[in-house]
Amino acid sequence: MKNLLLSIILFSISSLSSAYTVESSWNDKYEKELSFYCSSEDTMCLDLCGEATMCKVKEETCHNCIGTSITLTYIFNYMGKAYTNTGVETLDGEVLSSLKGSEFVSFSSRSIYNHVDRFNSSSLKRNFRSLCTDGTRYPIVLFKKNRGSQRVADVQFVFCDNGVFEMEFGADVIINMEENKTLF
Amino acid sequence: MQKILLIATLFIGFIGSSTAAPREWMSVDSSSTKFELNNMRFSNRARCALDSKVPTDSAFLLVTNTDVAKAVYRLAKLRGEDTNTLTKYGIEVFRYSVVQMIQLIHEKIMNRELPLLSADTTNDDLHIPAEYKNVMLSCKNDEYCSGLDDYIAKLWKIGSRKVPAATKVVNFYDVDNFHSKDSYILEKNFKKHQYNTELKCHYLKKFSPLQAHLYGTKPDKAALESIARAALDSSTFLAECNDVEAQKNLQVAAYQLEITNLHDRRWKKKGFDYWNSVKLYFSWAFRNAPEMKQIASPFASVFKGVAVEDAVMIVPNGCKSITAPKCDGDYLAQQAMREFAKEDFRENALDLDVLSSVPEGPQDDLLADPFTSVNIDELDLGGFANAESWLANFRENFAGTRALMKKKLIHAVSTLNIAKAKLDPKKVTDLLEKRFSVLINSVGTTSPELDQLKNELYYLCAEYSFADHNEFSFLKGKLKLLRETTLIDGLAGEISVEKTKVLFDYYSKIADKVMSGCAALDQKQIWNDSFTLDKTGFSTWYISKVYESKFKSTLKEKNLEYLKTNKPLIAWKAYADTAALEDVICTNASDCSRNILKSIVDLYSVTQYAATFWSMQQEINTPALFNPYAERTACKVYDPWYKTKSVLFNLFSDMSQAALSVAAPGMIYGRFDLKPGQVVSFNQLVKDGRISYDTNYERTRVTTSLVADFGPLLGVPCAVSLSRTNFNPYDSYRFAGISVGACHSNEDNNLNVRTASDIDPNASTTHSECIACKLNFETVTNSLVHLSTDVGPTFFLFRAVFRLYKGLKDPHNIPRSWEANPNFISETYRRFGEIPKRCVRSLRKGKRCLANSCETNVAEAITDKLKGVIEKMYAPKNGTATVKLSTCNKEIKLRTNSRNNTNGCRIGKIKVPVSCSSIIKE
Repeated sequence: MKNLLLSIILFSISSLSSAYTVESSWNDKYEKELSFYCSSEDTMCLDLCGEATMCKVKEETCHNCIGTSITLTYIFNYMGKAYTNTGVETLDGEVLSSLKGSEFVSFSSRSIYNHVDRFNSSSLKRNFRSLCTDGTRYPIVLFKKNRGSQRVADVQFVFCDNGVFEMEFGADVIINMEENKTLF
Repeated sequence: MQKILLIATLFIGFIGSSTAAPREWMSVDSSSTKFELNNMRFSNRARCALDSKVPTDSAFLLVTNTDVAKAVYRLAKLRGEDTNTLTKYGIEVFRYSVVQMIQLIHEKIMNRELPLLSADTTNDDLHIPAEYKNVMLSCKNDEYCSGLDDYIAKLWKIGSRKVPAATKVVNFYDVDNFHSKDSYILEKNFKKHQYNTELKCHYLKKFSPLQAHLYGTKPDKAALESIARAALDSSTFLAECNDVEAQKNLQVAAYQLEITNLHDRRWKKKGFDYWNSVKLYFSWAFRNAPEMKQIASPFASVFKGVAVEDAVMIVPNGCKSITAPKCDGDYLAQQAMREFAKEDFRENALDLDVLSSVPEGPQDDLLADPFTSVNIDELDLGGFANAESWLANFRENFAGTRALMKKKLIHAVSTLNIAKAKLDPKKVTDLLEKRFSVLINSVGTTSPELDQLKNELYYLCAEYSFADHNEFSFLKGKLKLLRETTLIDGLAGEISVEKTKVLFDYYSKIADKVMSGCAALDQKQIWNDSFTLDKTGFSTWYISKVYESKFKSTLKEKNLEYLKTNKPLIAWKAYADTAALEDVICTNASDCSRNILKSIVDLYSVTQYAATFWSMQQEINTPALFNPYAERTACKVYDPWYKTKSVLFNLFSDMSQAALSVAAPGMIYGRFDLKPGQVVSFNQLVKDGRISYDTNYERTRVTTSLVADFGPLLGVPCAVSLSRTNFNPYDSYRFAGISVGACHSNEDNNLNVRTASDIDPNASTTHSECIACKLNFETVTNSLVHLSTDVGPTFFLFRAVFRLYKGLKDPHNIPRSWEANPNFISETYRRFGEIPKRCVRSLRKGKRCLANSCETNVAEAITDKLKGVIEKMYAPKNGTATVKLSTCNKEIKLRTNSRNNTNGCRIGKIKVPVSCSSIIKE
């Protein structure tokens, strides 16, 4: 009941800023799916599965995602550090082709793939939330899935309440070449 | 009088014991006989070493649930379900799925619904289907191999068709030329249960005398009796694999798998292929087989994501193997897993090579401890209350160490990538120059800041010299290997922008700059007499290697101090908010340079044991946990036949040495970096100065040299003793343990290095030959003593006789084994209420032992034809025998007939009650 209430509140808040919201969940058959809730002015749900307001996209479990692989550990430890939001908005077409191709993996701070930290831990929430500038509670990051190995591949984009943004993998670091004797 | 009484008592006692066998069998309930177990094989050291080359028919399946439990727990949280209930259910289904899938694969292989996938694709003498061979050759060990997945998918599809097995065999032949003779365990017979080769599965509650072969060698009466008692009380130690209630521990589960009724010769030939097939099919099927939907319901979709190779391990139950031992890095690294099973792992962890900052590598252990013990509970099974807690300790130590290695790897890859992207080598040099210019320009002055800088520069130069000095660094050559390996790319390719080769080249450039900078320094001026080095500022890896971790590194504290008044040179953006040291990549130019070096050292250390922690191939790990001689035999550090052959050989060679030792022998010793099979010029080795000749032989010096030379396994060390005869100074001459001979003149003095411990039956025959460089570590110490110039002919003659005597009595090094069938042992025990002394011998040979030949023959016939265990039996020499089987509630009858003048007992047709007809074997 609590969850339902929270979802409704979230949904109504998010619908103020974005045309659709995304939720990652596991259904009653314990299969993973991405749920899209679209407002009347958005065609994402329609384009995805022909429904106007809601669409569920099945997400096949990625191989070796339940375990402590180096890649998974890195993703959860370095989200927001090595994986960052470029600020460039992703075109709907790109999102659609990625979802329709079914070769994707989604992560959030509430992911069951997280074996690095406690479920939805505050540090994990902080790292994921740092990806969105609008305070999205549970940003969902989409990675590509390797067609052959079915394992996680490159990072693609992040679903924030205020839009979908391209992500990049690299070192988002500060450099102080001058070795100044001053603090930040 | 007292004496007479005593003798009488003893006599009565003797009579009593010989007739003590009760007529009635010990009464037991059916649960005491429900587990049928395979033979237990007891081996001494040499036999255990030999057995490593034979495929096992009994194994432990070790399953860890931690990852699955975590995932299902999170799933329950996410869905708002009861976490305890769902997690427990998820674990049960996972265990069931693992066992069921292995059972399914076994059945398919035995029923010819899946062909065998050859374990050795390099042997040209075997028929290997061409496509399979190509797929395996194209699969690199450290990368995911999509070709293999596609190939197995194709075979599985054929195997699942609803057509007769014969049609499938034809289909497999069409697809990839699988020959019906070579590619299946069962030959030319399509009857389903030709040998009834089922895979039995028992859940292991506690280690007990039923695993006595892991604790000791030759079983005596007491050992057999304890096995019998354990077999009768088997429900305390074992449970059915699907008995969920018995499986209390939610983290781990251990199962004993046993393949029954194998055709011995065929199994020896195909056993390794069988296990290889099980491993390959399992990895694929657990993720992709359509059957998983039903087996793993309702979690099939979740389990698809499980890194199943990390959760499941199959280890041989004893000395025999699942994987044919090989002397390569991966195999050796996998064997290092034994350390994690030790009860005192945590106390000794810091001394272990695997946790060392710069490990010597898994081969080091072989050389440091070539004659380790075997079958004396090496894995501390007895130290734990039950099998689960043993396994939990093992997995915890293993997972904990793996987590450390993973952290090291991730940190190193991340640091190197960032440094490479943000600091080019030229920039590093400029920054270093800038940082230390103050120091160079203010020679002669002192201040705390300058002292700090002097220390910092010292650390930088010392650490780089240690790792990169052309002449003195032992590490430089090792680190260079990193450049050539793709191991890190396979492991961490997804988190690295650059390939290892590129990262190593980047490090090399920095190292060149640092080394030339350090060399150009006026060292005496900077680190003059007034300078005191603060050793604690070195990096941890350096302190561990150079100062043997005698003190702790304060580098972290020094960096924190530095950051109080300085910005870090490179930091994650988060540092602006957190100001935490964990968000700092490196503080300044010298720290960055040292971090780059540390990262390379860390990458090197991870590669040494990578195969211990990560299954890079798409197959589950199968280390020979209970046989430390598997790798010792494969790497020729231990030769199980050496002693047998050498007992007779030594007699001969010692005689000849007695004659030769009249001339004082000198000594040549050296290290040849030769690989087996390589032929090099002996003269050239002398010319190149790679061999030293020492006429003033000092034992301690030679010992040190030899020990030092034993470093890399493949650099075969040799010692040559010269006889200084006139005709050929390099004439063959050998002594126990190490021997090198040179070729006779017509072979042009070449050394043909074959394998390390092949023993030629006769080295001093005059036929033309190249004698191998040979060594056997066991006798190295002895050999050194024998080299003494003081010993003369008498010593050698005495030794010849002594050796022969001692050699033949050697309990460890002449292969010996004993087989014991726990079902037969239990049967004898139930028959007599003990194990009679006269039965010990036959039970140790794996045979039955009952009161007489009629009982034995009846028991043989009954268990051969019918399912079940004999609970009791009455078998007269002439008449009707009655047998009560565990599977039938009525008595089974058959006629017996034995003639008095022979030992034979003929038996008639078995009469099975109609109500028990289902117990007749197919």
